[in-house]
Amino acid sequence: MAEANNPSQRLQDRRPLSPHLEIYKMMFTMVMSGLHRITGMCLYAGTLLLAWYFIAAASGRGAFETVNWVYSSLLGRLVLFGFTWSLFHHLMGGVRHAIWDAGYMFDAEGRELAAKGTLVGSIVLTVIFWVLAYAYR
Amino acid sequence: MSNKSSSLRSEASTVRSLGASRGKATHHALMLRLTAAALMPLTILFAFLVVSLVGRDYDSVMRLFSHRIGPGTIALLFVLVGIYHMKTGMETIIEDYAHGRWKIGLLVANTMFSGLIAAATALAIIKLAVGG
Repeated sequence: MAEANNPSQRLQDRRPLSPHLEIYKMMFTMVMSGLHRITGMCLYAGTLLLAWYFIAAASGRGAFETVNWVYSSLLGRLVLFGFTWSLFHHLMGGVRHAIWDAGYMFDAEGRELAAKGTLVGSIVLTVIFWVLAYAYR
Repeated sequence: MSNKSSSLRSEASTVRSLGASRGKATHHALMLRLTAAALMPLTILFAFLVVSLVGRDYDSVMRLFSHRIGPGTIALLFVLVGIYHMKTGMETIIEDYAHGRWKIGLLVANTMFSGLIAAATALAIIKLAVGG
């Protein structure tokens, strides 16, 4: 390509970029920030699980019994456990972002507390959900 | 600008909404947050619905959705608002990491996936509500 010989183009390829993830020491708040995006992407894929349940139920008895069998299996329950934890973690992360949007908890202590609260809250909600699910089965 | 001295418009107003997002960024950021706020109660309500669905057989699920308006309403709202939020959030991720043709392609794929899932799931829920 002709553009590759263009000096300004070559300069653009080597232009200084902002330092990214790999140069920073891993911090708890940083991991929690990354987890918010990662759980969001898991939920993106998880909509297929949601869609499958409702579409199967609307399709008829056979399709519904298949999805019920898959979701009741050990692997199915493991995947659903991951899905519910992702959902509750993303929900708690959303609460944390809403608090920041309102202008609170920007100081070091607040950030740490918010990150811990997100993690603890997501685990507590997930456990409550599964206890209720088994209790009302 | 040639009309600088004769125009009453401020310089800011002549360039406003001409940035990379053509003025749509505020709406995008706002919708991500508004749908997030709506999803806080909706997720809790939907979680209770799922708890009540666990272990139900086919006939019982059919009865739940066709005899009562609540379960279908919660499911429909959760799915539609959730997928709107999901599409908007994924657009943010794509715009962060993908550029050029990749960005355009992924944005189109994201819209198509979100629309397909939303339409199919919503139709299924409505079908359950009107009696299987």
